[in-house]
Amino acid sequence: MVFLCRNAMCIRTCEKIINDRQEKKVDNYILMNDMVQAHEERMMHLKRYYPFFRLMDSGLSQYRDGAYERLDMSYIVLAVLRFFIEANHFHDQPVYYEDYRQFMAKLLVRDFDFTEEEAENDELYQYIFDKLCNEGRPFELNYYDPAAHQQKMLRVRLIESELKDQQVLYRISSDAVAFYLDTKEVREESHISVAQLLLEKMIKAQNFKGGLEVIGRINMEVGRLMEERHEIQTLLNRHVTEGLKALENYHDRLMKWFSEEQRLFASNMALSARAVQKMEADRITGEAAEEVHRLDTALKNAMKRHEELMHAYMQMQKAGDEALAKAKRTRFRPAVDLIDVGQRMIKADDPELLTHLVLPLMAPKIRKTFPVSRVDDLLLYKPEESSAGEPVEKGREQMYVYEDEVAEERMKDNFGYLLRVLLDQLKQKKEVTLAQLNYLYAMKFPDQVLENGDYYAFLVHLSQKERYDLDTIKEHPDTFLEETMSEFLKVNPGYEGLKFRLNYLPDETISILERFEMSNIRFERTEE
Amino acid sequence: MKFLRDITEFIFLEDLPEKADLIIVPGNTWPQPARRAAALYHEGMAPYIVVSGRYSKGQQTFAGAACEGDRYKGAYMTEADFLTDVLIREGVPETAVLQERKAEFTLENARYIRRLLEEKKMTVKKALICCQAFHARRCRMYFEYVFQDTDVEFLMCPAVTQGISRCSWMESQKGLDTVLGELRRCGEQFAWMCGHQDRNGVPVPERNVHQNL
Repeated sequence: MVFLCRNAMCIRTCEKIINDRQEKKVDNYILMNDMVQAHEERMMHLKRYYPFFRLMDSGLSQYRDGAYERLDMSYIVLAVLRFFIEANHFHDQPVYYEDYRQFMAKLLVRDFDFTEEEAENDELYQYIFDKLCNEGRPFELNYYDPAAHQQKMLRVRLIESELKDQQVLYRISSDAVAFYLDTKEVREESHISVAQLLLEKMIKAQNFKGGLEVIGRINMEVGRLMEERHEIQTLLNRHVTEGLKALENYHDRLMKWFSEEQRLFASNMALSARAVQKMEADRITGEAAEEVHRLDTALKNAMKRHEELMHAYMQMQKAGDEALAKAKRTRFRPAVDLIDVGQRMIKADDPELLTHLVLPLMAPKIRKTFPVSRVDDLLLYKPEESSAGEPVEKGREQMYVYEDEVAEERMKDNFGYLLRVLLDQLKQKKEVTLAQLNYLYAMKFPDQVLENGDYYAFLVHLSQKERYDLDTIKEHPDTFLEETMSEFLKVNPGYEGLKFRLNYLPDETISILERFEMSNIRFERTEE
Repeated sequence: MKFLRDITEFIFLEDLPEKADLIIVPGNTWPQPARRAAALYHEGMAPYIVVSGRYSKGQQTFAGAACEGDRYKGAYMTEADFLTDVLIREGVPETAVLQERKAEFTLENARYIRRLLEEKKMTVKKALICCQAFHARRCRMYFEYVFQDTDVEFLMCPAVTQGISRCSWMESQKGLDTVLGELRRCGEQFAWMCGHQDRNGVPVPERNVHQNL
């Protein structure tokens, strides 16, 4: 854009407008990237939390007219996850339903003051377990992906199951483990330091625009810490012990990185200053020069904010110390009178109480020593080749097939086999009973067919309606089974015009493998 | 694919079981067909079960159960003894089991069973045959051939063995070999029954055709 101006003042104004616009352009780029491009990644992270809040939301208020509302679902979810981690990861064992039931019984007695009789409530345990497993289906989180301009779905399970030797084994999902760990994250690295290292690379690579983006992130993190500091300050004023606890935590998590962050700031400032000097020496002008200047200014501002944070923290720590001193003055100081303790032990005539005094003396040795003679070994030590690192090639994104999609595909296949037998019989005969069909299923397929979950799922789905018109279903399916039927009929002609209805025969009981019983059904071919 | 379905429908036969005069278990070394027979017996489908078979042609002894050897580890002399043991373990009374212990192949199963029924003067109008699933077509062919001058109706009530079923036979080499082998044998042996070939597959003069039927 060209501005035709006559005096110097006007030229400076025009330059300012251009600079402002370019800054806005960069800000806008960062804003869009954070909002749009990073959205999917954020949702992928958020999905782990989704089941927890769904479960908290539904809770137990609907169960038995809210009779168990006092049970806190958030605690139960986290406790059960911890129980699964203990079994699956620490002991490398699967969890059987009975294990879960016993764990829950103990938990309700211990943490919710249930009586032993109250804790004998299998129905309640099953209800909670069904909720945790979402009745076998994954929790589905729908969201809009602004980068792809389409609606997407994320699936997550807390507990996975598998059938082995006729028993169902349960394991905690990796997402649930990640979620559980996230809830009490231990930060081992400062976000600001990581960003600083990235910034260093960017400046060295002369990617000043990227560097500005990184500084934006640093500012965001500093802003967040500032906000957190403010919250702790408020807490300190209200509740000293809680506030001090939060302050200690704040220090442990963040302030130990402060000097490292300051060092990196100084190093990056030096780099930035060198970039400015070089640019001026080379008499570089234009957009590149603007970027370097903007980065330099932004870095100085960020460093200033960082120092302000440090200063504010020091103030808060001082306030904390004062608050503690004040609190101490107003409370009795807890003291240990060893003579008194000794006399009480004698009075109690219990020598085991001595352990309280002796155990701290037996604490592990905390001072470590290193023999000087091994310095040579240390200097000559060569890491093994295997620890040198493995080159990682850029991977290709794979198409994921989720477990429930595999299960759905399998169910469709199996429903197709079962359906064909039924429809073939109805084509040949006016009617056929479920008992007769069972004979055919057992002869046509391996014996286990009558123990197969898909067989029972097929019957349950089939029983949703009393009448079936295959021509209508082929064109307008309206249930999961009808969708399968429709797909089946499209590739298997010969069943046109077939209609049938289900007559339930509750008085006739079919015994399956002497283990299961179900009432008989008569399938009748109809004309209308 | 339609041709696969056609082969499947030809080889694998299953009839709805009906009340019958007896259940037949042709000789084999798998327990599943005998278990199917026992289940049908308990359902009251027939009062007797005939088990038939010595051991396979070309073998000198009965080689033992083809699966579940730790369960069926008796000193069986013949396939009929093994099948009887399976039935008894499934709760079929010994009095309901009839044994034929000489047959070495399926055609002999049919022949010797017919002879046994005639000796015992048993009137049979309907019989259920419990064989291996992939063997159903050939089995029916032999029994209908041997009993062609009677009005006995045979209903096939097989059991899946060796994992070879109508929905899985084409997924393994063993399944393919077995089912296509059955298909080939059906053709060859039908040709022999019609008199076009002798039992070794050698063509016979045209004038002798149909003498076997």
